[in-house]
Amino acid sequence: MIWRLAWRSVLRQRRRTLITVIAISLGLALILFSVGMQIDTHQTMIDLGVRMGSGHVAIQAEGYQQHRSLDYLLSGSRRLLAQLRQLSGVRRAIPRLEAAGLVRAGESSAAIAVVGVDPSEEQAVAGLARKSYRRRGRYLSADVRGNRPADIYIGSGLAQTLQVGVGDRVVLTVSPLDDRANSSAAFVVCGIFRTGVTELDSFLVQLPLSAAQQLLSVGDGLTQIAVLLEDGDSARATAARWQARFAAQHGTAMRREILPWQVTHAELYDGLKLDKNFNYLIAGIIFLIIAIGIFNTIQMSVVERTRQFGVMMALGTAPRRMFALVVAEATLIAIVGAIVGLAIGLALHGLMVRYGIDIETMSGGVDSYEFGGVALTGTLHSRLPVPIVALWAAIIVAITLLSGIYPALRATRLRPVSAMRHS
Amino acid sequence: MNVAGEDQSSQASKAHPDLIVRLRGLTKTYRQGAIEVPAVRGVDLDLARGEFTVLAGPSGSGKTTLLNMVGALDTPTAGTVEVDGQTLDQLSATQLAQMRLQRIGFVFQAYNLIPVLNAFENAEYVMLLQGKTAEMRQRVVSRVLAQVGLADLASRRPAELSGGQQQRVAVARAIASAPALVLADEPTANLDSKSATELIELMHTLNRTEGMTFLISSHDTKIIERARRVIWLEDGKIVSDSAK
Repeated sequence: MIWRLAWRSVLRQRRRTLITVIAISLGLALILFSVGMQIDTHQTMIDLGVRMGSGHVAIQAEGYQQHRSLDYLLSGSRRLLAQLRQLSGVRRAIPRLEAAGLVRAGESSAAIAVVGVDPSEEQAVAGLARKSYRRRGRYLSADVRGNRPADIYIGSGLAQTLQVGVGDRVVLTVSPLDDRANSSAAFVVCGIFRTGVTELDSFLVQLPLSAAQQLLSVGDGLTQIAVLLEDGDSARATAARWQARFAAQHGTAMRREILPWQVTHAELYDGLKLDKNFNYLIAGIIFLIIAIGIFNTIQMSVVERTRQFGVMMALGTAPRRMFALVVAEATLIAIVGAIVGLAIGLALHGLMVRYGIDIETMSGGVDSYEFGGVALTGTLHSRLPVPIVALWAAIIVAITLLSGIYPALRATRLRPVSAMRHS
Repeated sequence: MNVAGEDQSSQASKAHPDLIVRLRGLTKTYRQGAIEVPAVRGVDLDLARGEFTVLAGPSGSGKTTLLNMVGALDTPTAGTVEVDGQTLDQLSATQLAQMRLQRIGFVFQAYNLIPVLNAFENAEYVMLLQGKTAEMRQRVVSRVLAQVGLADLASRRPAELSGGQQQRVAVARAIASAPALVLADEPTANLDSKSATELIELMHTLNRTEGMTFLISSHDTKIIERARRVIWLEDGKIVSDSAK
């Protein structure tokens, strides 16, 4: 009876109900669209960040994160690499050797960050080596033959500063580990990349790992092993587990820092967190506006039917049934609004999955979008896990029900005699 | 029904088994700012089961206020109300609602049907609240709609019925749950003469054939003529009480 009455009452004020349903459904659709785009953008940024940077989990000598010096080389790195690659949940274990240096070409020179990499590993993880970043030439070759200069892969900003192109020679100078005077070697520019991140395009070069190790006189030393996990969401837990296991095995004799990407890419992590919180704030404002609209609709509906409610109470309808009736009306509006909102939101999501939004179109001609040290290029899509969809739908239904509580309580407090005099 | 004061009321009921309504010193005073306006002044009244009684009197004489207090819709300023052996003093809103649901049927001047329900559903409403089975509701409501002459209009909503037809549905709703007492407040006031006569005859017939007790407030001479007992109110007091 309650549901039948509620349904008919809701249908009786068709226009008002329709406006409320539209407000709820558009609100939910907008949130789903925004959340879906945000999740995909964030995931893409994290993915790019960990591929180009320190992986989901970075393994370094203790102190390296703070000092960034060759004095903090990772000991036993070859064995450690082999062990990591055997672990379940590990997709890739990537060796890295980082140092500061100076590059010269003719009269031009620039201070740079040098990264020695395993070219085949880098191509497999598609970080800086990905084709979409390559503007000219090719990626590094692992072959270092005889006296022929090794490859160097440089950014477009640096190439412009040095005024070099593919096939040109540059001289790289670094401070090696053995405290000798500066060590220099010639390299041939094999390719030029452009990520859209100024710090990378103007200040970063990649060399084959063996050439970097030789130049820096570190033997087979590494500064970092970047680990890509099958499940990126488990980075914190995995880092903590490995750190505890390592400490149990080696005590204080060998110290390492095993850090999740949230620590090694703190700028990215903090930026994403801020973006997410800002999105929650916007969602909160949207929901508040919706809640006010729903409250107003239900309140008006109760006030308009004061006389009817008075009659129902006079006939013996208990206050709790009056409450249930108004809440049932709010529930029906909420459910219909949520269903329509889900349909619209998921349709938009489907379109975004299929077609996406081109960054260049969205940003008015700029082909990449830099955020937290990561540059997005190409097309943004949408990603909506089922629990997220269910959560937002539940939130909007809950908000609708909460909006109906005060009008429902008001209905229970009516006095039949005065309510029936209401016109 | 489990309401407060059941034991005390049962005793009262046992003391006056034939009484459906027992009022003692019933007083209602409204306050308008600093001014107190007495609507009912110390009314004592006994109503036996099966009576067809009219509360008559001019506008403002306190008929509706008295009826509202008997119907547990309003609370007295002083005095006591007993309905079907149940004292209404100090009952909560929920208990009063239960009291009305189980023992009293109402017919209002303005029909007061629920606009989103059709005639059958309006007549069925009180039985639904009482938790009667679908089979029983179907049987009883079909019968009472036939009794009030609306069997063919059961699926019509109030907006599709005339005033007289709506008031018949209101009567069907009031009697479907077989209440101990039917209270009707100016039931013919909004009806044309023919509809009013038909409604009076309907209520009279129900009283005669079903033994249903009616207490009707009205200054309609047609109802007063058909009443077996007429109580005249003036300025909130009973000025005459005559039985035919």
